Amino acid sequence: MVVGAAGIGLAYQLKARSIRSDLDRDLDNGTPPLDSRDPRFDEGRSAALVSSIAYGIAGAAGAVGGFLTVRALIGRRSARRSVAVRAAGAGAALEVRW
Amino acid sequence: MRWCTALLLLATCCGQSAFDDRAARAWSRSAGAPDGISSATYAVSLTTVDREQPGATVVVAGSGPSSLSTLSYDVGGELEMHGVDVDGGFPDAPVMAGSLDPVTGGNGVVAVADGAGAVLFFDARTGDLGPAFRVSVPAEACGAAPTFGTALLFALTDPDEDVEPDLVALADDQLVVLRDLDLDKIDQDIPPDCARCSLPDGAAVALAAGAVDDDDGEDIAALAATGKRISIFTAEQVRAAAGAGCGEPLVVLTPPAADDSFAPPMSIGDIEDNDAPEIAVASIDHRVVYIFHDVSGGAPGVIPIPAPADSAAFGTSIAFGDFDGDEIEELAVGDPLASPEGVAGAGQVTLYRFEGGELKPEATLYDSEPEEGQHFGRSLDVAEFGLGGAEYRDLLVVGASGEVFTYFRVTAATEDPRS
Repeated sequence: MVVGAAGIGLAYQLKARSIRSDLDRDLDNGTPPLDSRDPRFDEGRSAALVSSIAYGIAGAAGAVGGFLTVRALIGRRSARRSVAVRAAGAGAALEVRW
Repeated sequence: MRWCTALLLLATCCGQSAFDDRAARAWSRSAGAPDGISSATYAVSLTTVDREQPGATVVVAGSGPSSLSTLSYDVGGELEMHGVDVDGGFPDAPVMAGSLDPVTGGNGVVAVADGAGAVLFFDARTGDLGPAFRVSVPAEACGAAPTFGTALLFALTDPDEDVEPDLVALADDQLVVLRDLDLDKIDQDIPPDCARCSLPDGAAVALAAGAVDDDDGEDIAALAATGKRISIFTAEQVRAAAGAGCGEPLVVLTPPAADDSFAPPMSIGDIEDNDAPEIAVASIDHRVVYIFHDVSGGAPGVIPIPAPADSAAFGTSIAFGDFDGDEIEELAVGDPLASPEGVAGAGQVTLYRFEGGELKPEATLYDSEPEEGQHFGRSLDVAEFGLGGAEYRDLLVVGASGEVFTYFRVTAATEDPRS
C-alpha cells in the first residue's frame, strides 16, 4: 500500500511539475500570452492536491506499518527473552507476552 | 545520495500555491459575466472609463436582457465585478463611450445610446457597487435627429488644458457636441450646452478624436456612411455652425483606390510620438487596414497593413495605445474571425509597432485555450491603469463572446504594472 500510494503521489507530482514547467515557459515567452483562467492552472492544482493526498496516505500507511513492524519485533525479542528451560523437567515452557 | 537529492527536490516542489503564484503573474485576466445579471449574451459591447483612483475600470454590456457590468481592477490587479440588469434595454450591441466625470469627484461615467433617440448616462462605480443609472439626454434636448447616438465619444476639445470632457455624438448627418457635460446640471433640468452642424458628406457612422490642428484641443473625425470620406472638424467649427453646415473640414481623407471604401470603426493615435497623429481605418472588405500618417501635415501618407491570408474580418476593432510603456503608441487590430492554432473563428488581435517607416507585428494575442467561434477581438479598448499619483499605463482590453480579456502585459519585455 505504501509503495502504491507513493507511486501515485510521484506520478501526480511529476504531472504537476510538467504543467508548472509549461506554465513557466508560457509566462516567459508565451504566444499567446497566458491567461489567469487557463485550465492548466486548475489541472496543476488538482495534480498537486492528488499528489499531496497520495503522499499523505503513503506516509500514514508507512508510519502505521513501521509502528506495527517495530512492535512485532519488540514482541519477538520479548518472546525470546521469556523462553525458559528448567532442568527439573523433561520439557520446555514458552511464555510469550503481548 | 543522488536518489535522495532527487526525492528531496520532488518533495519540495509543486504545491497548489505554486500555481496560485503563477496565475497571479499571468499576462491577461479574463472574466465572464458577474453574478447579478440575467443577460444570456455577455460582452456585446465594452468601453473603459478613466478614474482618479489607482487601478482601472471596464464597463461591459450584455443583452437578452440588457445589462451593464463594471470590472474594477485595483492597483494590485485584483478584480471586483458587479453587474445590473437595465430596465428598458439597449440595442443588442449598444453604442457606448466612457470617460472621467470630473464633477462627481473622479469617478467614471459611461454614455449608452438607447437606440430610441436618447443617450443614457450611468455612473461606473468601482468595486462591488457596479453601474448606476444617473440621467438621460433625449435628442430633443439638442434639437438633434432621433438617431442621436449612432456613434458616441468623449473628447477634450478646448484648446488649452481642458479637463471637462465634451460628449460628441452622431445623429444621421449631424455632428453634435455637448460641451463640458455636467450631469448634475442635467439632473436639475438645466439644458446641456449643445451645438450641432450638418456634415458635408451626409450621414456618418463612426467618430474618432485626436489633436490634429495646432492647439491642444482634440478635433473630431467623422466617417461618412458611404465609406468614401473621413472629414475632420474642430469643436469650434461645430459651435460656430449653429446648426448649419459644418464648413470646410480641417482634413479630408479618401481611400487610396477610387473603388475602395472605408469601414467603421476608426481610431486616432500617434505611433511616432511626434505630435502628428495617425488615423487607422479598415477597408470595406477588411482585407487591409490603412494608416494615414501625420494627418496634421496636410498631405498625409498611407501605410497599408495587409490582412493575414486566412482573415475575413481584419480591422473589425482598432485601438491605439502605449501597451509596452515606452511612451510611443502601438496599434492593436482585432480580427474576430481569424483561426489561431487552426481553431475556426477563435479570433485574434495583432499589435503593430512603427519601425523603419512601416508597421511591424510585435505580438499576436488570442486566448491561450482558443475556442471555436470565440470571436476574440470583436471589440477593443484601452484602459488607463492608474499607478497612483499622475502615473498611468495603458492596458489593452479585448472583448470576445461571453468574456473580456484584460492584458497587463503584451510581450515578455513589457513591464507588468501591477504592484
